[in-house]
Amino acid sequence: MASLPWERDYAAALERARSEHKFVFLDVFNPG
Amino acid sequence: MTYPQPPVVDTIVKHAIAVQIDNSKQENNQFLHGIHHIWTPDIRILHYDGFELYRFDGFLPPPEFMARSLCGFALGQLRLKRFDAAEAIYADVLRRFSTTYAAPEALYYLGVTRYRRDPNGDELLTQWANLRSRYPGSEYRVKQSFKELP
Repeated sequence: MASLPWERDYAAALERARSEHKFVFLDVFNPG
Repeated sequence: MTYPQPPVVDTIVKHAIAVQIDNSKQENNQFLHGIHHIWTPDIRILHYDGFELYRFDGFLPPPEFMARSLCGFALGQLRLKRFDAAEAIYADVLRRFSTTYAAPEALYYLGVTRYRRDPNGDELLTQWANLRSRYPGSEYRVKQSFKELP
């Protein structure tokens, strides 16, 4: 089943968002 | 589960780079303190400079989650004064998710978007009249209720 291609590094996500002209979708989750 | 659903994936990937932060890991505590995190899931839609453009928390099933996320992307575009992009997303929410809790917000801000793009037009009042008609019991109807005063 498809899933989101999650970044795990916040700074990298910001940089990708800048270069790809997108927003950052940040999800703070609890694995429990 | 919401995230594995292909329409949810498509919705997020189209507009954003998705990043997850695990609040059970101590290494993330400083970051979480900085964003005043308190509950999960805690969704933030950010500009690439880190500025928070929209947020919501708590579980939502896929249709409600997609509609709420789209409203977040739309408000992000609106706050960046990208009126055409904001309008397109709000219209999409109203077309595909008109029965969701996010729909009244989309109609309210569709009016705001069109007004900000063209302050001389009458779209704000037109869309807010639609809001009164279509979602009379909504919070967003209350937000425009000052326009109903004599």
